[in-house]
Amino acid sequence: MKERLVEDWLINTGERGFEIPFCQILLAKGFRVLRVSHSPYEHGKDVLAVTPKGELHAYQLKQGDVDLATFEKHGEQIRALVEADVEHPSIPRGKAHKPFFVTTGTIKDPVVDRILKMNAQWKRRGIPCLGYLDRRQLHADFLSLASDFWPVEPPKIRAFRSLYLATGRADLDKPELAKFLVELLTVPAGAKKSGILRRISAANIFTSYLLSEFYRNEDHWSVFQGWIMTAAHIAWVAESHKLLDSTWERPFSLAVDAAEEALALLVQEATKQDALSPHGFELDELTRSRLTICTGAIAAFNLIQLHRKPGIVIPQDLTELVAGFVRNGRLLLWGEGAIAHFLSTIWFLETTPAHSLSEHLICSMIDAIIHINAHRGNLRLTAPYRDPDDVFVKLFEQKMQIPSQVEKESKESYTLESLVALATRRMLRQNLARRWRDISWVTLASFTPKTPSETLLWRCSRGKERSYFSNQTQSWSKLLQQSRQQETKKLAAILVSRPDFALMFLLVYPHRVGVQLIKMLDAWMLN
Amino acid sequence: MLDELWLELVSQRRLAQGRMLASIPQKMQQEGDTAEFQTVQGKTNRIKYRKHSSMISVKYEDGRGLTLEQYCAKAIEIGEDMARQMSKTLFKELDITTKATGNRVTASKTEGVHYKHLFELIGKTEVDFDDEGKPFSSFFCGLDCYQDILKKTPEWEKDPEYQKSLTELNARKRMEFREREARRRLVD
Repeated sequence: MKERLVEDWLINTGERGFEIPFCQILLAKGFRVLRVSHSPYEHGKDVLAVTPKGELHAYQLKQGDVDLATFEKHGEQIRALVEADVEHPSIPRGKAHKPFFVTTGTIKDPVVDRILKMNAQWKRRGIPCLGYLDRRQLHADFLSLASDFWPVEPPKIRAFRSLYLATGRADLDKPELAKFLVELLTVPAGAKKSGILRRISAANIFTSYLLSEFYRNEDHWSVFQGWIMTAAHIAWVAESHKLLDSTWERPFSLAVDAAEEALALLVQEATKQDALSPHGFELDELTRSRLTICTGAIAAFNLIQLHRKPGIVIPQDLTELVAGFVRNGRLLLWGEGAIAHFLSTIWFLETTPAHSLSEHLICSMIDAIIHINAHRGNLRLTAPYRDPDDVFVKLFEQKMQIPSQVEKESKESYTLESLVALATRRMLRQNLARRWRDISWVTLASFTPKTPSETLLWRCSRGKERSYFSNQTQSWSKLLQQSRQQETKKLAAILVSRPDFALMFLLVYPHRVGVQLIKMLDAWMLN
Repeated sequence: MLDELWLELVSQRRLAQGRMLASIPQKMQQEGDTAEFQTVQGKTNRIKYRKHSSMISVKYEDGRGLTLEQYCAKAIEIGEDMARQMSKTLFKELDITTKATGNRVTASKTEGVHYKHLFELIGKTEVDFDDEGKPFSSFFCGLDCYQDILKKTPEWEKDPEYQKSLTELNARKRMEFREREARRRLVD
């Protein structure tokens, strides 16, 4: 199966879906990848890497078969790849590089002949010759890198095939992807660290296979989620085996970079005219949940850019777009799973002239939880473990009066404590005082994994679930003190060292919206 | 698909059979291997997990599977058995808890339940009041006891002592409730 699957993937994958696994192959060969980009300033060089011998290599990546006409179409880019110097902060200006033309398809013979002729000319001018790689070499490289880790037992093969054969039109099956990643990254006792690192490399390759349909359908949200989950699982295995940062940070960064690229594309798409309008026949709840997710994503992307380049100004139309959704009540709190998106939006609004809306949002969310989860009512805001689709099915059943005999769910909130901490950090004392009676009635819930690194798993089999209450009589000064106290020891180290990743992680893992993570992110935002 | 529907039938039957169980809010623990909860008195209790299992046996005749009726009957059998087992565990736990907290009264078998027993029980527990000032709390008793209470209530209501005790109890519980509610606030 694996030979045919890799072949199929190489035939169908686009340039973007192919970038990360290609870099992963270079890393596995001991190369240092300097840059992965698709920008107008790349001068034909999509990937820059340094070989173990110190040679500088530049790669241009293409998709599909290359005949002479296609090759000529890329003529300018190829000339720039070969002739233009590499520009990178870590490379001395004018350092010679070896250029490569890489495609996922086959390079036809006339093209090979053309390359040989062009190389002869470049050689005469003292310019390095163009190398090339096509499907045959790539196929062998991909197979050898992940060869030991393909699922072999029938149920696992079936699960893998079903993940691979996903149409890319429905949502990514996150629980199944997580299961696959855990199986791939779980090493037998006493395994060598080199074996773990090979598995980490394979994780990026397999994720590329599994996301190919989502790439093809330009489902940026699923691609984003898939890569964030992969990065989180890589960090989990690295932290739990105490691997040296230098050994795993590059594969981790490749996954995060791929996620960020998808996030950027999602933001680009979402901010186009009418991009967020209903797609045909659609429930407004569904439209609003999409708006909520996109707003959270837009907010997170811009917050990360702001932290990297503090001087940048957020475009006014973007601020107006987000503020407009908030003012017009277009965001939907479908359950506690939506809180992560609201938090991202709150932090974003605080950096804009519409910052007063953020306080309103915090208080509105607290109100929603204390009223919906009020101990006397029959409703409950669904737990953050449920995605919007589950919630809408339930709503639809209620509307259609479809009889379903289900257990009464206990009323608990996984997010109220975090929201109270945010309100306290913003000195919203009067707002909290008015609501404290109702807040103290809500049962709070939290989950603490057995070890901090397990926070990065989609579901933890080890750990403690707690149900508890806020103090009935609460001292404001103590609340303030607690809200300012950072408890990062309970968090996975990568979430503390990479708050940008932590923010993206929160959007994908809404059930990890614990008070420690939120206080840590809030401190980063207010920095 | 059929497996899922079959399991749904098991679940429905379990809920229909264990009505009391179904009326108690339940929580599905999604992660972890331990759990604890805080009581209203502020005490933290660890949850003890108990595994319940139910077995069915099927005897096939040569080359013949189950009819739809037989197939569903097996789901019902399991659902009802699970409800029985879970209710048994619940009552056992309730018995231990009420013994420990003292939140129980015992009526003699010969005389049956008296309103004083009920008032004593209400007196021992926290009673909440809704926005219109109506008390709401629920108690558990066996079916015989419940029918006994229903039968005796009209008689009790004619007794001035019953009315006086009820009014006093209501007033006391309302004051306790207000005191508790007044504690729910943010202070310096």
